[in-house]
Amino acid sequence: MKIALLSSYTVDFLPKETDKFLNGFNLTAEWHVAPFNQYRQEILNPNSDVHRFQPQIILLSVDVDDIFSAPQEFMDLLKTASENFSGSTILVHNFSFSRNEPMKLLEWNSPESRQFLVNQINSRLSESAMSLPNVFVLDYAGLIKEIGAETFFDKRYYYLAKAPFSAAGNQKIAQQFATAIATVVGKRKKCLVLDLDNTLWGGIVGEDGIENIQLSNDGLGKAFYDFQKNIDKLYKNGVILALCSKNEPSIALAALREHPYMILREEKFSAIYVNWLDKAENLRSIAKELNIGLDSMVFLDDSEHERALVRESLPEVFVPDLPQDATDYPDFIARLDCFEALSITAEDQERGKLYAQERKRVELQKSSKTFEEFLNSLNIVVAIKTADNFSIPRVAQLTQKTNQFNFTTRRYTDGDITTLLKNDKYKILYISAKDRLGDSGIVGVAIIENNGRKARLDTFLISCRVLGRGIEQAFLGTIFKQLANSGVDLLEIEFTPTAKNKIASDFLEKQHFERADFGWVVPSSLDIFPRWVTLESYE
Amino acid sequence: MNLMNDIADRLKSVFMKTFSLTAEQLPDRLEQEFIEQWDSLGHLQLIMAIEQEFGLRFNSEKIPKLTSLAKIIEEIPYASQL
Repeated sequence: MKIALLSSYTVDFLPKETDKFLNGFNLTAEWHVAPFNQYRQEILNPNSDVHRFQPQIILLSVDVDDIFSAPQEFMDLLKTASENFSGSTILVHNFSFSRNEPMKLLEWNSPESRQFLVNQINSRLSESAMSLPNVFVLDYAGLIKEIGAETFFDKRYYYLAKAPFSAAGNQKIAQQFATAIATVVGKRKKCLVLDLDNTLWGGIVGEDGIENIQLSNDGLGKAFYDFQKNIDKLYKNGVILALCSKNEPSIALAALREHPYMILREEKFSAIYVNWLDKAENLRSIAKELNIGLDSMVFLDDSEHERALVRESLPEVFVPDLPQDATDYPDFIARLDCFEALSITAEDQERGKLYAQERKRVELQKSSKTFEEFLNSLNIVVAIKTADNFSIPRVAQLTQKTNQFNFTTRRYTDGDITTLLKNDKYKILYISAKDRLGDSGIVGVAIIENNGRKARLDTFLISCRVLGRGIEQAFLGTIFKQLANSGVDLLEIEFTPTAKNKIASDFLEKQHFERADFGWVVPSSLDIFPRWVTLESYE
Repeated sequence: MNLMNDIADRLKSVFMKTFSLTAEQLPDRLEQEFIEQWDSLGHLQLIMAIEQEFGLRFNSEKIPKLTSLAKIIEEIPYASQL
């Protein structure tokens, strides 16, 4: 790809910097940098080097001082450039001052104000560009605003060599150039794949209920609302949306359909994968269903684990880190810069809808070796311990808060747990889990009543944020082993179905345990401890 | 002494990166006249890279005079820290 750079500044550093960012788009460029301040001649002279170079893209960056006295001349120059280089795309910087003005208060209040005049010039520039088919404006003034003029410029280089930008300023411009170039050659991303809980709304819909998730036009819920609004803007400009969430489909879909502040309703998604399968598998299925490349997909998820899984299994997918704080979500999506477009066609605007209409749910295959490899690489370590004074509050809290992976949904207070602990027949265990990505703390509780050769599992629950990594099997498997060691042959697993714990019964169904009227019966000799989990300590 | 060696080594690697040279291609005397790529533009790139590497800022009057490794090492203690 041939790129010409024309400028009134010394910009010879920019190609090298821009190449670094182009690399990220798998693009390489052949550059032609016109000599310092020769942009007029290079455009007007039909025998100029730039004409002979036949660039695909022309970047034009001019100091406002250079055109300030005769802005119309610059607009005319642009028109000529558009005609003389009708086969090229011309990207032109808008204007901003590189120095401070004395008499600051007067700026914006006087017709002589330079700021005021520059704004007028910028408006005219945009008008010109919109009337020329191959000319587009790049927001130079916006770049300066983003990092501040103090950081953007370095006056020493300006006065020494007419190179006004600091290293940081050069970086910023190079990144903008690369994004624009990638957009011109059609390397923009096409599809945004979204998680639900703590991504599109705050909280866990399966736990908290539709009416309690954070999503509103007021308070913190507005951060999620504004985030959705920005995503909706992407959708309306042709970005395909897809869902990939570990959730109970009926609950998640109900939230999408019924929540009063939901902007991204079901019909805006071209593919919906709400299930408990590995997300990398789901992303592969989405790519296949929508018939797009993995490299045109962007995946957003609040969970570091899910992001790591997708990055490792599908390096082609772009997986940015969501900000830690949801109030940063709206700006984050606005700055993502990977769905850029220089112009929008009617077809672009319809694209999201078309895909959505074609959506068909595909029955998914259960996952593959790669998922187990991922689990192996996590180095999951669990510890299983008897509840004590330090852990009682967390244990009681989990019995009260956990709705999804909870066999009996029995709620216990701190006092209840303390009482049960004094009863010799009862054993109250908790499991904590960590892996190379972090420590999750206490994530599960089991309460076992021992009746000689038989034991009854009164309570068994796992926090839904760690589900699907084998921690549930590790916990249950350890309980089996412990019971077998103390001479118990059978474990009766009680199960009380609720509106929210289908994932738990699905899990039990899959284990091929023997059904009983109260739930399931399992011989304690059964070994279901997963190979990829390490048991660190057990009491 | 060790500290000086350390600074010289770090500077040499900045030279190599800026001018796309291998260690073998670096001349014995690291002076502007012995490195082809060290023209006026190369000079700015070099100074920018050194400032980034060491987190400092040379005075504008000094920048044109920093035309050898020795002169740069000499000036580093007087540059303002970022």
